[in-house]
Amino acid sequence: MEIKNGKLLTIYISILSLLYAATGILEIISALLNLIIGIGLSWIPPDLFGGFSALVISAIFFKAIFPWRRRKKANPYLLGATLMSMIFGTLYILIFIATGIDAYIVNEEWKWITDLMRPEIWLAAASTPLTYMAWIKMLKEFKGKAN
Amino acid sequence: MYMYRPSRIIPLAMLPEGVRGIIVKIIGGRGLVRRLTEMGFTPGIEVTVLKSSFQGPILAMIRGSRIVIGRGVAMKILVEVGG
Amino acid sequence: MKIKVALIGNPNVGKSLIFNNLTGGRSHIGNWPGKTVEKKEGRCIYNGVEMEIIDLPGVYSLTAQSIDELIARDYIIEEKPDIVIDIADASNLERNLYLTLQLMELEVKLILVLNKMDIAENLGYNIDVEALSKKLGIPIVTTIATEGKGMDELKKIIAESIHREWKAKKISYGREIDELIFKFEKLIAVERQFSTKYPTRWLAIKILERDEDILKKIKKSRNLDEILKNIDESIKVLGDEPDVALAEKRYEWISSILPQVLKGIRPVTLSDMLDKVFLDKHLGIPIFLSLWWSLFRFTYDVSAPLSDLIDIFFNRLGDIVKEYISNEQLASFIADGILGGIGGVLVFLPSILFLFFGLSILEDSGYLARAAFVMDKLMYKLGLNGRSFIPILLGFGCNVPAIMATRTIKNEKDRVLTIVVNPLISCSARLPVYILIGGAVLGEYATAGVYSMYILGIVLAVSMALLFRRIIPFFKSGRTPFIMELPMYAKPILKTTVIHMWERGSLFLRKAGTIIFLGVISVWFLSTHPWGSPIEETYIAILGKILEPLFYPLGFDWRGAVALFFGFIAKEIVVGAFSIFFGFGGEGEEESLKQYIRTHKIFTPLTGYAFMAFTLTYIPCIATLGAIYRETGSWKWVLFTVTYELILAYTVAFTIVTAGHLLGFT
Ligand SMILES: Nc1nc2c(ncn2[C@@H]2O[C@H](COP(=O)(O)OP(=O)(O)OP(=O)(O)O)[C@@H](O)[C@H]2O)c(=O)[nH]1
Ligand SMILES: [Mg+2]
Repeated sequence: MEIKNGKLLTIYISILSLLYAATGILEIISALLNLIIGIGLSWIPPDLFGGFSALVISAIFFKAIFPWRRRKKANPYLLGATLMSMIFGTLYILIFIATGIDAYIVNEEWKWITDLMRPEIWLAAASTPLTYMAWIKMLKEFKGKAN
Repeated sequence: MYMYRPSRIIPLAMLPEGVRGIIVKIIGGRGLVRRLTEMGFTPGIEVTVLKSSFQGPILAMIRGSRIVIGRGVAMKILVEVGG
Repeated sequence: MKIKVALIGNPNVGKSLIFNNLTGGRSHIGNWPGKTVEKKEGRCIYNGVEMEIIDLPGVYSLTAQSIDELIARDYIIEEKPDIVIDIADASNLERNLYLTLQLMELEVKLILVLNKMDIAENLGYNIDVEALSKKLGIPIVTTIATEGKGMDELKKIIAESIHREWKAKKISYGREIDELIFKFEKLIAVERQFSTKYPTRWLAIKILERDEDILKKIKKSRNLDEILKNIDESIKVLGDEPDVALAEKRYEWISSILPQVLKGIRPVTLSDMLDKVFLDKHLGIPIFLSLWWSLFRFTYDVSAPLSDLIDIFFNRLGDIVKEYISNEQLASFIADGILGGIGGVLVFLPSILFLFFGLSILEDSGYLARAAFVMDKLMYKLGLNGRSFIPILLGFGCNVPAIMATRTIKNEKDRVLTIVVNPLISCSARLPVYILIGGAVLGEYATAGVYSMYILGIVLAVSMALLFRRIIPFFKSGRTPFIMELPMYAKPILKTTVIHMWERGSLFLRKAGTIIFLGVISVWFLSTHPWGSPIEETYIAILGKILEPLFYPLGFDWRGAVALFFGFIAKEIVVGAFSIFFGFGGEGEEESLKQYIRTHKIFTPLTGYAFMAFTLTYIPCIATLGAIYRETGSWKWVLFTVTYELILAYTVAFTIVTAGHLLGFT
């Protein structure tokens, strides 16, 4: 699928890169607004460094766009970008679970929708097929032996 | 001796990423030369630059090991390219 | 009878893991070169044979340039273990055999271990072990230390070696050099002071290489004049870099046998690919910062439920104690002093475990060494190099091992500089203070506030290094070359990570049971006596009121001042002290510490943040001071560190408060 659908993949990666960039910028704006006027954008977590991290992931995806068409080999930036995407996705899911348990322990109301609406969780989910493809391809290239 | 071949001798730091060179000489203090030699940087050996960055360190592959070398040191390792 | 067995080898080949496997020890394991910096002993019994195993720092050769290398070299050469185990990385045979050749010249009972056979196989290497063993003349054992494979064979061969003799092959350096070696050998052989202590051929080679250490020893020789004359002569043959000439010959020899014992060429690996991304010239540093951020979110947010559980547990226990113990003084001692104070500290055990879990993963995955690479450019501006960044990162866990890790730095001035700025790196003991104060007053910005402390720590350390370089003559020096082997990425091993976490956790518990306990009990005593008086009239308040004027410009009240005072012993006591002070306020009400601090305006967000920064900077804990003394060998540097840190802490906190006021915060 990879070579013929190169264009499709490029679009897929570009969209992810764009979405991560948007997430990053919005989270940073939300954080700054929150700091200055005391209220952030609704539905966007005010998270300065989290936003920065999303921008970093966006940049790695962006770099993954270009060498993609020239080479048939596994794309290092795609490996890196999907890895980072998974790390952050997992992190926010863990935080989601921990907040839930914590709310139960201290007997507080758990605003689970806000916690679950962390964009990075959904972006990680959206990049899962790509992660799978990139890493499977890599493993094939290295005959299943990763070092 | 190198006159008849279209090759150049440049510092390892100037070698572009992915390009190979043959080590010609290491210039520098005794301690540095000894250290590099012990790690496998001997004349006549092939070295590949895996990663290089402007003013930063380089990552070189030599004798199957991957070694990070500061820019300063990489300027002192002379390699022959081309030819 | 007991046999002494030394483990030696290149850095990061798995010596310590093999040591742990053999002895059940807990040497520190991680995927970067230079972890072990001191020798460590352990025991192992096989078939009734008792062995004393010694784990040594990694070395590339027997010519030592830094402290850790010196420890390894001296042990092998001067202590003369019964058996030397040379551990080599099978996936990197060519370079690893260099040390093997040097050890063969020492004429010790040498066994070669080819570790990391799994990686060698993955890379498609095929090693003819038998042929190699014949070529070298020494027995070889292949192992995969991570899976415990080959350990029994290794033990067996060690145990059997008491009854066996073998001699490693002599490596020829070519006729010309061999003749020179022989000449020196003859001169030395007649002198018992040398020939009984060291192998003569080895000594001859070292003289030929003009090894500084050996030349010093040789000064006592009766044949000194003749030796010196021969050295002059050897220069004609070998040039003025004889050690380099010999090293080249050794590599030549290795290259000549290698094709006969090793098949396969190194393919492009996943590590090569990942390095394209993680060492990217633009993205390297941003990626580092994001990963670090994810580590702190993990530490801070994911551990929260466990901390709350512990908190609730101690609170309930306190309530029960107060209910059932009628003696007021005793009840207060147990409930407020022990349970409140120690409980207040133990609440942070989960955060500390999570932090070390994360750090261990970064270490084992191989990323730590990459961080040194990407930070080299920045460190270069300070006149240091990327290598000095590793102690900085280790300092996030604990400053003591971080300061010890500087032993791998070759230049003494760089080493001392890296040591004295290390306490500015925020260790895990300061985390509780950040979590408590940050969580109380920074609201949604708590995690960002904590993270910013870590950044502030790095920034301060870096600026101080730069400043000291400029203004203190001692630190003016040339640059030390940066050379570091980059390990392959690896999947973190759960067992190593858990052991690491467990070790640090039990260390924390031990600390809580001893030094923190004493500190907290003192705080309790001083804050409840004279018995029955309101807290404002207790001894601690008297002490606090004396200190208060000093901290008035920073906006800390007497309680903050006293907490910092006791925090000198161990920074966790700051938190313990607060739990004791505010334990009184919430009597009856179910008010948590954080809420109390917030509602009673002990700190505003601004002064709270300044307090965090002050805690970060003000003074190294006692253990760190001890480490500074041990590693620099002088009280001068201890005093220096304490002084500059106190001044710096005050300046930083004052700047934060003033700048905050100007920006309109209170
Ligand atoms: N795949 C694989 N990894 C191994 C093996 N042996 C050790 N390692 C890994 O190699 C790394 C280094 O192991 P250590 O035991 O700390 O190495 P060391 O030789 O003591 O290193 P220094 O003390 O720094 O000189 C760790 O990440 C180990 O998990 C092995 O047989 N196979
Ligand atoms: Mg070790």
